[in-house]
Amino acid sequence: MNQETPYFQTQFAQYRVQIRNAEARFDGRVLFTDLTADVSSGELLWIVGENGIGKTTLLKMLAGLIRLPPKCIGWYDGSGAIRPESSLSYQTHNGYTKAGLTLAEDFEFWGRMVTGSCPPLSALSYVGLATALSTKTQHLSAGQKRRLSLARLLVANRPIWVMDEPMAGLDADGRSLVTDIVRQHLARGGMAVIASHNPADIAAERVMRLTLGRQ
Amino acid sequence: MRAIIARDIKLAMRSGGHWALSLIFFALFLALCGIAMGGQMTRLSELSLPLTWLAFIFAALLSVSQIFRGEMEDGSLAQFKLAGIGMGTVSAAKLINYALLTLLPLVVMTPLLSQLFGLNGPQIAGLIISLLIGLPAVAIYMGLSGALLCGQKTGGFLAILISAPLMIPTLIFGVAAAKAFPDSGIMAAELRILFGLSLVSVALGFPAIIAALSANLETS
Repeated sequence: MNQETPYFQTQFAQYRVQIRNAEARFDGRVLFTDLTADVSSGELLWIVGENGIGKTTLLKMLAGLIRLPPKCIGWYDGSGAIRPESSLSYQTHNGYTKAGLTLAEDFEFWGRMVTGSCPPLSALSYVGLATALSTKTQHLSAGQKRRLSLARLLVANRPIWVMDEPMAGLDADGRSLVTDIVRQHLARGGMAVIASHNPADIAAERVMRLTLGRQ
Repeated sequence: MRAIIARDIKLAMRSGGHWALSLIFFALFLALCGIAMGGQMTRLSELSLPLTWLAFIFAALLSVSQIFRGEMEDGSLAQFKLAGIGMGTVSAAKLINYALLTLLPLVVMTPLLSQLFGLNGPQIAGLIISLLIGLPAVAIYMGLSGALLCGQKTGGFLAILISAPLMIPTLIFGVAAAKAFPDSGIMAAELRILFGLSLVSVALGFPAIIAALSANLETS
């Protein structure tokens, strides 16, 4: 599908993340402890585990949205430690759309916020939303919202993707779109961290599987 | 920041008049006060300044929970952070919107509603000037309760408990300034104190709002 697209032209520099003895608690209950992993550019970290085991918590930790003890999770590029905010896109489980805006307006707003300029609407056609541009976001289906967040990932053009259940709500065509997009992202030196129940059908060359919870 | 403000104004215009809730409450509260006082003009005009200030603060309280909660609940706040937009910019944009869409319409409506109480020109001018000067303080304190509570599902009554003590000095000097204006004019000491209170509240309250938002974001 669409091998020649403008979205995957950037070749990313080397990034890596070190997770060292990370642990999470909720209401005094331990979700996971002693979690250790290393992921580099071009690699896919696949996080699996039962419901409520802390997958989303781990993603938020990786995105820098939860404060952690120092050295628990460290992001590095070629020259040293970095803050993940500037290089990372976080695709949440329930897309952050504002009821009242149309799809195109919402897409443009976030494109401007992340890149500082008006994003190309062609990204919406690329993810199969060309016919829904003027639909209000509250009328979008779960799958359409998921496709919208894919388009946001594309235009944000950041090297690290953190994705929470990217396959949820998508039809077969949508799932192959996610697979295709993630593959191309990895091929250009990007990194992806994906939490999902679905079997790892993104057959990337370097997939690492991380199982949370009782093993 | 302009993009956030523009988006929120667009959202407010499409919300089916939801933004006017405070305005309607303000008008109804003052109209009902007039009826409750039995329409005696002398008593009414005496009480109208404190009543208008009270109505202003209650109407402002009505929308407190809406200032930040929407952004927090749908994850937009986290995305702003990831987009490299500081909490300071987001808070400033949301507060400016709150002031423009909730508080300013109340001030604009005030001359009309003052007719209920038979206020004269200088009294109306004093009331409007005191409300405008006190507006930043009201916006900041309401913003602070909104920011503290945006991680909670409910908390309307906590918002009142948090902002009421903070609002007392503004209320006292707001009413005093409105009273003093017809005699002493714009240089009235009460107006200057109110102005000082407003500036202090912005200087102290704004960093507190940013801290509260960041803390709520990290625990949500």
